[in-house]
Amino acid sequence: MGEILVIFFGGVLLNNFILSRFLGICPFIGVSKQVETATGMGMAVIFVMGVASVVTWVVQQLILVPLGLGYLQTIAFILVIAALVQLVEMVVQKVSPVLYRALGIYLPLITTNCAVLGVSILNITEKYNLLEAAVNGIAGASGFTMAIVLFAAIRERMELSPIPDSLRGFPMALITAGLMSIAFLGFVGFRLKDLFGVM
Amino acid sequence: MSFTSQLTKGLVKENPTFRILLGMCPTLAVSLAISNGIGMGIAATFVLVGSNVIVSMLRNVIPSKIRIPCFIVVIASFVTMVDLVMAAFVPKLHEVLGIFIPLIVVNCIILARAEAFASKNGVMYSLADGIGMGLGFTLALTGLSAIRELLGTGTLLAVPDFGFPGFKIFDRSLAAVMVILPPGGFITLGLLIGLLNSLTRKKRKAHA
Amino acid sequence: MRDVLKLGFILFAICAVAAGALAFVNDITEERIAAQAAMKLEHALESVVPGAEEFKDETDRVLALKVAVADGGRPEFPTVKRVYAGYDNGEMVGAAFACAPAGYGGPIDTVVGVSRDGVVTGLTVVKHTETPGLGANVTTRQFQERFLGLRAGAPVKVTRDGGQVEAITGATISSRAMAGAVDQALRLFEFARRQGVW
Repeated sequence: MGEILVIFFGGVLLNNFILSRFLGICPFIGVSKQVETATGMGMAVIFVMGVASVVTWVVQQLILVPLGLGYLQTIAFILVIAALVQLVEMVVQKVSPVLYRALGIYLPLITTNCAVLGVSILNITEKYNLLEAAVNGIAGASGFTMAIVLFAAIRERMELSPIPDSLRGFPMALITAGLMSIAFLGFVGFRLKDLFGVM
Repeated sequence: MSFTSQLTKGLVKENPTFRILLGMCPTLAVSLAISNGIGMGIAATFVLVGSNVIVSMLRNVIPSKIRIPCFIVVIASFVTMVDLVMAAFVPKLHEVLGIFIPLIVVNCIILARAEAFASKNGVMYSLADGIGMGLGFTLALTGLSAIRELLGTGTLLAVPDFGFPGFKIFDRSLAAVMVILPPGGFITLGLLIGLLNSLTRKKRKAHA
Repeated sequence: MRDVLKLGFILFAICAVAAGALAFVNDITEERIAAQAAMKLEHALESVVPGAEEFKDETDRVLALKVAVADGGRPEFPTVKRVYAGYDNGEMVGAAFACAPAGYGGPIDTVVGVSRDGVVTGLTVVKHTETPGLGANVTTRQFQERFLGLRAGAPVKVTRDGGQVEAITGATISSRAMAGAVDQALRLFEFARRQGVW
């Protein structure tokens, strides 16, 4: 149990996907003008990253490794993720039109969200087991969601602030993200393993 | 549009990083040292040129319904080749760039060029577009890396694969470590784009 | 229906060509990549145990001892991951301990070399995620030299903890981790020697 908690809080706070690992910056900047859309994107990412972590782990361990095809990892993972996103989109549309209306427009964007492919590869390089991989995927996505929602809230306020013309929009967004990232630096060095009693 | 203008548009006018704002993740993550920036730039350029040429060659064969998966397969193949070759010949650089090499697959610049340019243009133009966009990306990445390496460590041009420690410009104790930490990446890039914006704005005003 | 088959066939053909090309590149690079990894370890070991001609992985032999005496199930040398003995003409000249002490940003993969008579002969950092400019200075020669010549007996600690090694300014945790690795390597070496391994 301790191990799982270490992975979860590590993923959300210490190694936040956006603010310290630089994964998923495009949607972070692109879909963060309003808190509402940011939340929708975040939820869609949690869903897809959780499922993708499990599926890519299974593909790696049950297909690529036994066949000695480790070098096809990148190609296999990105195809699996692309197919998965399509499948999720179709299933959600059929099963829950309400959820589809909320998340539908974000789903296609997720294929090129490097956080999804990133977490799938990290799960393998960190030698996680299936449960740990799933937790890592959900934790990474939760960290993404937390960062993007907080960021959207700041940007809503910034709309009304007097910002120099040259910095308006994208540059100011980057600088704001930098300031948030400083706050998250405070979590580095947190002894999670001691906290949860893991050797 | 001539061959040369296809080649040069990516450098300044349509610079993928500073103008179209694509491919932010690797830009922010690896721009700690000039050697990283150039290494990542060359890797991405190779993939961009390779995928642009192949996509352009196959543009009449690939049905539009399945074009995206086909593009992804082509891009992922080139990425894997780069990954393997770098692991074999420049292991230290490969280790530093780490996960961002396979992630070139989802670098929006590459898929965007395949979709917006290579699938509609001839092989030579696509080749030029790939080289130009790749160099533009490399240039932006190297520029940002140079600023961060200098301010953050006080040295320039360190190349770990050759065991070269770099030229010392000022003492390490005076360096602003924050610049090579994640926040420094965001803030430096933000200020750099702001600076470029204000320069082009002035130029535009002068023209008008 | 025929349309679907045609699309499937085209996609399949592209995938097959891609996989073939990759198999070819993999074939060329595979050996070199494996050699690079082996060389990296070899380099690290050679740099910390001077004079050794070949290294043998003796982890199982040494750690079996450790398990036999450790009481309460808590391993006594938790940061030591692997033990290599260095030989010159069949004679044991020193040992290298691959350690992974917890630094500020995660484990610091370190190799500590100890000579036959129990003196630290070198250390090197193989992989780390410490803060650039601060904790990352554990990789500098200037810091690593502070450990050379230490021997088992007095515990190795940073000056702030009452020890003999000066920590890196602004990176006490990273320095402390390195001191811990050297300390455990020395103690494990002494212990193994007294048990008659070498």
